[in-house]
Amino acid sequence: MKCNRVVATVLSAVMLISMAACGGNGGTASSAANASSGGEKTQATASSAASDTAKKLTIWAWDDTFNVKAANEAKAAYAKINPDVTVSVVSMAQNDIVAKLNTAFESGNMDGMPNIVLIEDYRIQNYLKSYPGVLSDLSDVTKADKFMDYKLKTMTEDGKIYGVPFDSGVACVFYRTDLLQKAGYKPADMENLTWDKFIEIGKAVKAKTGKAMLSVDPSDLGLIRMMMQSAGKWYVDADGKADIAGNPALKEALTIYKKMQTAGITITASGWDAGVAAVNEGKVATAVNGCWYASSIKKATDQSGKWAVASFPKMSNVSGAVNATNCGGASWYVIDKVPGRDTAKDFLSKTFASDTELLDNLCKDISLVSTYKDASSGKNVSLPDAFFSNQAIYKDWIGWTKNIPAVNYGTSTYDIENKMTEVVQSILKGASLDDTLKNAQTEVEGIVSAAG
Amino acid sequence: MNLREKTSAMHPGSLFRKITCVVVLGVLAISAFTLVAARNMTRQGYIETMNYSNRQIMAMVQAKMEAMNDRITDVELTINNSWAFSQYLKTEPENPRTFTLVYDMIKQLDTVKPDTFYDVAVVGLNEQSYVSNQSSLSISVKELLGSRITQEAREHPNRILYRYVPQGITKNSKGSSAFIALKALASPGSQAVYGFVYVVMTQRDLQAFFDNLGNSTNNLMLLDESGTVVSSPNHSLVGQKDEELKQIIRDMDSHKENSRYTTLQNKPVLMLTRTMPRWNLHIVSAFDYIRALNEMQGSAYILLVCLAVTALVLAAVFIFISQITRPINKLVHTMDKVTEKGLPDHVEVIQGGYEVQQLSKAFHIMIEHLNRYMRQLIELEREKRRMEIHTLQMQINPHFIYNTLTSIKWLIWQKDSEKAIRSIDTFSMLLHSTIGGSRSLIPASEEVENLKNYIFLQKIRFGQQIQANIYLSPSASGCQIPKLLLQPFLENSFFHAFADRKRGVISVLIDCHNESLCCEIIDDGVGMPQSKADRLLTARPDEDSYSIGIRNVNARVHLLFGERYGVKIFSEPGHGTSVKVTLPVIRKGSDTSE
Repeated sequence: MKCNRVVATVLSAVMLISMAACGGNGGTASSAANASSGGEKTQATASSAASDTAKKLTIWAWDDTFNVKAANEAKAAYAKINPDVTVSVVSMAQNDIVAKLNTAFESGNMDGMPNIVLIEDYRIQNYLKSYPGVLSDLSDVTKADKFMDYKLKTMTEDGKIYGVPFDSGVACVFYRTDLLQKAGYKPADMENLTWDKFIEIGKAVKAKTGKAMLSVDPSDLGLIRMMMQSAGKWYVDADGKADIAGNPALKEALTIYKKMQTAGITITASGWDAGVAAVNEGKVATAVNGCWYASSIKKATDQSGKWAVASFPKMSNVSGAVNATNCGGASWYVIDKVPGRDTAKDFLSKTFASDTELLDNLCKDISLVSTYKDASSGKNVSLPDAFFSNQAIYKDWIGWTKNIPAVNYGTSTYDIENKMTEVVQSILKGASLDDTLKNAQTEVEGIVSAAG
Repeated sequence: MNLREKTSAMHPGSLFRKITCVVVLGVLAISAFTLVAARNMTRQGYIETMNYSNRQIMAMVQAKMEAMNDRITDVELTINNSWAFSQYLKTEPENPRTFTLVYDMIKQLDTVKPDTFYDVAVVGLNEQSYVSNQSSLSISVKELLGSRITQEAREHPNRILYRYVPQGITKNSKGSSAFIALKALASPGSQAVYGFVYVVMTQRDLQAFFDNLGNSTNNLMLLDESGTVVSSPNHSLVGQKDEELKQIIRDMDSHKENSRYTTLQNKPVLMLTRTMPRWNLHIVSAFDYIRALNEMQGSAYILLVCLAVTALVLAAVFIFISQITRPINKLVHTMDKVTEKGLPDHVEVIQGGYEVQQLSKAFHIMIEHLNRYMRQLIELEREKRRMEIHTLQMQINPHFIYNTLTSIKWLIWQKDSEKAIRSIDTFSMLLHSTIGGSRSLIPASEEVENLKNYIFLQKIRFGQQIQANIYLSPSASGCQIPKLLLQPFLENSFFHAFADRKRGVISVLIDCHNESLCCEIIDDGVGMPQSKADRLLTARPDEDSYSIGIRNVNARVHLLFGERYGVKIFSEPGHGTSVKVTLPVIRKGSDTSE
């Protein structure tokens, strides 16, 4: 019918126009739709019914050149064993990790939390004591006889091991062979070093080269902690009670600390970068720190071959003090209520808790000094390091690690340290050591009891 | 509506087409106008809204930055007034004094709680430095002290200067462009500068001021004096220097405008600016409203609604017009039929609109009038014909009368008075039947009676030698036949068939045969050639006096009943003649109107 055809033509024309109009806006409409569909949920809700296995694991760590890199290598190793599991390694500032852990543990809501998290050894006691049950018992993953005692002690609570040790914080003296040589000292002089000898060398260095021996940071008392642990002491005793006023190691450490400053062999460098800058810019002859500091020293490539490593100086006036101590170090923990606990445990047991090949590779790649006893037989461990005058530094570190005295870090290391920075300030300004420590004892007792 | 009507509806000149065209064009025009108007209004409204929201955004950014400025001022004044900083920057480093000084510096700085997203760097003319956030300087102190921005600060010791640098000065800000709030440190009351404080915000930190505020069209940016984009949510703009933009902003400033429609890089934009004199910056939004409009979803919606409404209205209009024009088409069609097929008996009045109904009524009345006129004409014609028939009838009578009177005269001459009387009786009966009756049709039986009377009269004249027999079938006796129809044939037989002898038989047979009434007059007389017999029916009236009666009969039959009926004569010389008259069967009480 002619009539119908005309109607059809008109209708199709109308439709065409409307379709064309739609087409004009199609692009933005679909892009808007895409935008709204984004935002993938990274973690399933972790309430009471947490499933034990998962296809996806999340790991949090904080140092891109060190522990994050290690986690990524472990991820690659695990992918060969269990390719079904996707592991995502998230790099985050340590302070942020701590803040998120605190928030999650306080609220009991584990939404958005990782399966595996790296926690500094100084902090772990606090978590284990304050939030029992939040971290998984890893006694079946971490074999007690396979790891070094001092490290395991930090993560043990009521006989159960809650973590998988990662790095050793074995401390040492990094020193500039060239500067010491100018001051008239040889590497042999650095063996079985004492603090008295260290100061003596420092004075010589200052006199001969004009350089300081060591940089100090008013807000970081790492040096004092290292000295205490070298004598098997800490701010708290084995029972977790404040141990300040009657702590000979602390007293001696403070004495040495003041002595070094008054001797004029130190420079002040506030903050981490400033300390590294002092080393890299050649303002100091030594750095006394954990073995992990090596990567920072190595940044100054122009100083390659001018460095060597010596064992930590002994406090000769304190009984039981040795030429070995620890600084920092962290371990892997599994958050119990995040779904996939068993997968996370499986991941750790097949990587950091047993894989000597992985640990040996990490030794080479990130200068990891492991506390896994079998790691000492790895082929990379005995390799000489050109930056450190071809010294087999890993072998030395592992050797010293074995001597590190085990201490109880307690629950409040950093809270106590805040107080102790004031103490150090007063002492440096001339206050009586005994009186200051006596006062501090009371305050630290308060801090410890507040932490429970 | 049948096909014809539809095609007529779509005829190029049809009313339907014209009205539809006008209305459709009108509707489309209104739709288009509405669409354009609605679209323009929506777009204008959209631009206004976006403009308003962009202003809000800029006000928000400004508020954030002012607050930031307050914090920075706090930090820098605290450092300026801190004895620890002043000592640290004025004296040569010497532990443990420096060690405790730094500790006190940190404590004093902590009293204003500087944010962690910017680095606070303090540098003394003694080349001592301090950087917060565990950071350190990424360039040497000497380099920093000699830099252009430090020189500027030195010239304005009591002011906080905000400067954009392509490269941050701390480890945290290294590798990123940065914004630095710097101030020369001097003891109150003296203009002696002993150091500088730099609050360093990286590009990323500046970005925080725009968090979630930038979008693809508002092109938010912070612009410094030189026209360089210092920060923008759109990273690709950062660090770019746009002279055109700078000119526009400068011009707007000089006219104290804060919004202007203009073009930037050949794109029309709505330029909004806000100055932040303390920061030495402009917050600028080059709102790309064309793009925003393209991203707007409303336009398509309006178009869609407009099209839908137009389509609906068109459909309604289409149906409505076709409803209106249908009766007209019907009327047209009816009229068409009249021209094609001739006048119908009756034309329906078409129900529809008032006008069409009136038209149709008029047409109907006209047709009725025509019909009536036609009927009158026909009636007139019939009357004429009847008159003619009457005349024909009258033509027979004198002939017959003449002959009969001659016979009677002859009887009287013979003095057979009895017979003469009887003849006169019979004749008078015949005349009565012929002349007296007004009816033209009479039953066959009556006609037979007339024939018998006639035969009687003829016998008187021609004697008893000629025998006449009449057979009327019972079925035919009731049939109506025209009066005196058969009499002329009987007469002819009497006069012509037996002209040479005195003996003969005439038979008259009347019978119904199928749908017709057959009357046959058969004689065994002299006969004639068939050609002559045929001529009897076709010859002109004046040609042969004998044939007058026969032709009259034939003419009467034709006139009365049509050409189907009539007279046929079959004859053969020496054997006699048969005349056959075919008539319709008409019974009394059936159709007698003719």
